[in-house]
Amino acid sequence: MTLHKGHKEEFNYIEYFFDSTMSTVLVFLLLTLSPYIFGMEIFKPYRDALSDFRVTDIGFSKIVEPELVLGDTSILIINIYGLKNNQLAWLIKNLSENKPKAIGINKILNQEDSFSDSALASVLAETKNIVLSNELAYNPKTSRFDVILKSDDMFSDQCSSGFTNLLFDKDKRYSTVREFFPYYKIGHSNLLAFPVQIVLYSNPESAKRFLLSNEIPETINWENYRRYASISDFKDIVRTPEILNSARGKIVLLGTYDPENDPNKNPYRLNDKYFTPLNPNYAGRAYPDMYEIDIHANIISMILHENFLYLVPDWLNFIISFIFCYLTMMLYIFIKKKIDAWYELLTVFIFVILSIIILFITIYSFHVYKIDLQLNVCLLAIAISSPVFEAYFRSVKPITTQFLKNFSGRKNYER
Amino acid sequence: MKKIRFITVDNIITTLIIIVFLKFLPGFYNIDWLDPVQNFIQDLEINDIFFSHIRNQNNIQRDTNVILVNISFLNRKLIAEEINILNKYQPKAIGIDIFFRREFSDDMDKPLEDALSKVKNLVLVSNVLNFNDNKKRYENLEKSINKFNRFASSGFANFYIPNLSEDSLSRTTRRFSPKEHVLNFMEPSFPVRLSYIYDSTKTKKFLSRNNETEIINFKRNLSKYYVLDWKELFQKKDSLEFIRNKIILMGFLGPDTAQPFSMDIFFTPMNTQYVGKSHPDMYGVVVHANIISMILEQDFINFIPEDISILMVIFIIYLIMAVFRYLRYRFEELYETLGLFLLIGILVFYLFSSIYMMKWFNFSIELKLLIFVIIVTEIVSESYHGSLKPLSILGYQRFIKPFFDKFRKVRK
Repeated sequence: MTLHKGHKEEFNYIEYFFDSTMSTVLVFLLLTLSPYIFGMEIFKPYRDALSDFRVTDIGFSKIVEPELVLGDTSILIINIYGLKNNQLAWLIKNLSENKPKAIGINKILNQEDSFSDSALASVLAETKNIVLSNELAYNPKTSRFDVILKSDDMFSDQCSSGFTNLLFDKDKRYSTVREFFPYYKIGHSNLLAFPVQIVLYSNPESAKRFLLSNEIPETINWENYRRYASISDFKDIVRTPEILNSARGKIVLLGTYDPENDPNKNPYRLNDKYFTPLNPNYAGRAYPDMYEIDIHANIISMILHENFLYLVPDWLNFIISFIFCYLTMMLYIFIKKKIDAWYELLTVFIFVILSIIILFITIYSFHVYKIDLQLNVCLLAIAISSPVFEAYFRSVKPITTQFLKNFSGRKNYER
Repeated sequence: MKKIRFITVDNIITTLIIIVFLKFLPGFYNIDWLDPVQNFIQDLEINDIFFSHIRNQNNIQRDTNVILVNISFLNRKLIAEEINILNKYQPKAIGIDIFFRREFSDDMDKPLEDALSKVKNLVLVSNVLNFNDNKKRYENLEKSINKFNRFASSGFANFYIPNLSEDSLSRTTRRFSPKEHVLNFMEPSFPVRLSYIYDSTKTKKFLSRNNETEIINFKRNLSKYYVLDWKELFQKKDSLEFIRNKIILMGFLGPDTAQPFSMDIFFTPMNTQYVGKSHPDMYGVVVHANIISMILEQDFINFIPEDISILMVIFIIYLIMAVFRYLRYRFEELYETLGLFLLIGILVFYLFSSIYMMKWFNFSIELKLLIFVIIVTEIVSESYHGSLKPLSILGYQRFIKPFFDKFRKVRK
């Protein structure tokens, strides 16, 4: 079934399916080879930018109104930026009197002076349900993140802890946080993540259910977006310690925090914040938008409310994309065969409509059914399907057929 | 074999379709949630690859003419102390890249007033505001309060960012305007004013280029200037002889220079991640320092004026369309593949010629629209030759021609 303009031929169904399959295979072959084509080091920023982009970010960043998303009232965040150990000891002591469910300290505690250190150590020893944070550092010898950076022994010996790493193999300066590791295997034991460890103290049943059913890594659902019931600053607490009464029965997170996100009015160390899907600039240049403690609060909220996202596995994703592309190819052949004069215009139209449908399905399924389809590959496949289809029918197929004819002719001649 | 002409109605129509498409493309991004995509596309420039990856930073020497001083979050009293220390060594000029917009108490303002009054060549920043499109000039100039400004000359610190909007913070700073009309006078930019004080001949030569905007030849970040952090300045206050006769640029470089802070910091073409998400890489005061270095080194970047670049793009569109048409009629079977190779070839040629024209001749050939042209040319050519043209001919033969034939018959 060759497709020359003006020729109308009978439909050969075997050839029809064969051609659709071959052109679809060609599309996926090109997609597989494209990273090698653009493999030069100078194109790395393009590759990084493309691989960091997700269609679903548009929903978080622009479509879902933050005002409509109810905040989680079970978490209280307190900014402890720049606090000395004795101030931290005072804060924890006062907090514990209000019996919070758990207290998480997102700061590696180091020794300062003996008076402050002993005050803090004794408060930590007396307080139940405290979780300290660790960081897992990369070990070039094992090629794993198995070096634990933790608070000084005098503090960490008294409490349990969890690791705070959010991006293991990616650079936080260029990458968006989308998922986290609930645990990390070091030696024979599993180290729990900071937010998971906190939930294990505050709501053990939820944590256990989560640990039994979760994926590694787990995609973060950002729907509990920042609107926590109360966010306090240490200075306000010193002025009116009654604020701490609101900590009763809540999870309290202590870390560097500022609810504002204006890089110039409320300046911050760029390295203290992460890029998240909530960033108003989901593509191109942007300022990092969320503090680590804020991200942990989102994770805790997700586990507490069992409000998880379901990630479609790669193999299923590939099958969906292949089927989509295959059907598109079949449609192209059909149009070419039946209404040749409209073919070129209709392919552009089909491409636009299919792209909109894929975008809509992806965003809708993500925000309504909590299913992350990740149809980026599908979108790319549809984008290049038309030129590949034409290249296949106008060049690849005729040339291959001619070559095979010549080859078989020569063989017959030799015989 | 039928001769295929270079100038044909087909080529003209397909070129026009692309021009119309490019003209109305920005309208598509007016949808609110596509803003970041628009921002991303408008911020893309091929030359950034040269600044970030091709130019060898090891070959760039430290510029000793300009000394950067961090004023961090110091209060006015401490800034005054900094100025007094610096002034002791009689630098050629001191430029301060912050505004003093309000009056504070006397214990803060008085020392600063005294310190500023003693500086021989002091330049404070201004801000040009409210551009009047009809008069082609700004209508307002914001300056520090007169108490401080009376000891200084001024220069505006705005950088030139096209299509300025609230997202401009997330754009790359590449150009600056050397001078601007404000009401009835001319205001030079902050770095131009300082360069003029340091070397008027070189600055006049730069200004004689008479370009509305200039591309900044970014070569240096903090490591290629002598930087005095505020603590260091107070510690070394008696051993700063090396700043004599230099340009001192005082501005915000973070609470300390070790960790980048989100305030007064910009994305520049030197950012190693030249596209997509990344931390901004250069403080505003360092951008000013780069401009001063460029003027004093007389190392300018030449570029194609915008009108000519548009004409060049139109010519390239026409050329591509003519080649497509030629391939279509001469090599029908290989046309698709050859067309694809042609576009990839143009893209690669454009990429490398842009980068190496910058490297060898300091010449920027940024044909911004060319990438979009390359994306849409094949689609437009195919749609036109494959559908639009045959359908129009068919429509003419079926509906219009019979109508005219009938009309002619009636007249006869």
